[in-house]
Amino acid sequence: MKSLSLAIVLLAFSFISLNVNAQTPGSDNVNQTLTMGISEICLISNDGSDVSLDLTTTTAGDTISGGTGTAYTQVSSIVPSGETRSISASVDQVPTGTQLYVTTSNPTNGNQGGVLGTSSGRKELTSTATTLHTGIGSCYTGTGATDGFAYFYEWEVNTGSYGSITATSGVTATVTITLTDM
Amino acid sequence: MNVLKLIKFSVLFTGLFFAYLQSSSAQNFNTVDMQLSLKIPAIALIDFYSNIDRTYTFGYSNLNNNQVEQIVTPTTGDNTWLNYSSIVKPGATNYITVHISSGSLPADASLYLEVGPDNGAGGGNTGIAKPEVKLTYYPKVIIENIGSCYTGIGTNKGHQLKYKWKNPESYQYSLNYENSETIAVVYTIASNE
Repeated sequence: MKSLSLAIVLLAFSFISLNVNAQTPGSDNVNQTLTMGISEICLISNDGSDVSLDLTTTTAGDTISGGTGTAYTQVSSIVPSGETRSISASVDQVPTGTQLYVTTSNPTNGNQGGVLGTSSGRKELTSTATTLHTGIGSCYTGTGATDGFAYFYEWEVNTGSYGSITATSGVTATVTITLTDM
Repeated sequence: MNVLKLIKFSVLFTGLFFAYLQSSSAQNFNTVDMQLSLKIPAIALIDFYSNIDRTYTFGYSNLNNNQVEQIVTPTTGDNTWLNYSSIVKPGATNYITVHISSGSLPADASLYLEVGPDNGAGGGNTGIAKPEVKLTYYPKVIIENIGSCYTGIGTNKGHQLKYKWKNPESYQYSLNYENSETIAVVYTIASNE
């Protein structure tokens, strides 16, 4: 009888310890599967305000000059592996006797990050699209009106056709800027 | 029961996620328009430069951008160059006149001005010089058909002006100069619009 009781007690203890072992907090593991996706993004925008360029002079004998101004485009870009993007632009009209140039530059105010690419330098804008900036990878520029890629416009006279220039109180030229795959 | 719900949710989520992936992979270009407001004001500016020190022998005042005044004496000669800048509206042209603005000449003395052609240092449609004019108090056209152009700045740019005096000795320059009776002429550029 005594040995049986002992056996039962021992058995009970073993079960308890077995149960305790099976239920010790923190020793259990479980897996959670995360499906992480990053979609390709290609977004460009600006704050929509006009850039004012004026050509004039106050010195008799001098050409008109001074048509410069800067604008910005904000960009968010996520590219597939190995791919880069470029910015190209065209303009719908430029007054007779004048020429329009633009030079892009990377943002530098600290709100940007990633692969921002390289400016193609000073380019003349015409009705045919021309590449302004290349090598844009995954990057962001910030969303403020003066964040982003800078476009420095230079509107100049063509001295060879100066006689064809006429006064205008305001012509709106639309520059179409495209962020696209190379 | 819970497991079944979990499976259903997983399938739904995965399906939605792949649908999203499909639609966003098509977005690999984007375009924005930037508006430029371009202005070229009409202008008509005139000035003169002299081979002779203009502050010693001659006073001058820039009355406004469209007019400039020069003191003229028997030694002014052909040392004056007229400069101008012009931007015209379509179909319009500018012209330049000259008149005596102060001082008086004796009856037998007279002052003539001959204007040379634009010497090509600038560009655009510079004006055509008229033949020699006799200067009076009333403006006379000396250069016309000025379109959009610029002459360049300084001497040997623009039009050379040649002053010719007849009987200058009766003018008695030094006497008249001290009596503030110097002859001054004003060049004016204006639009025919």
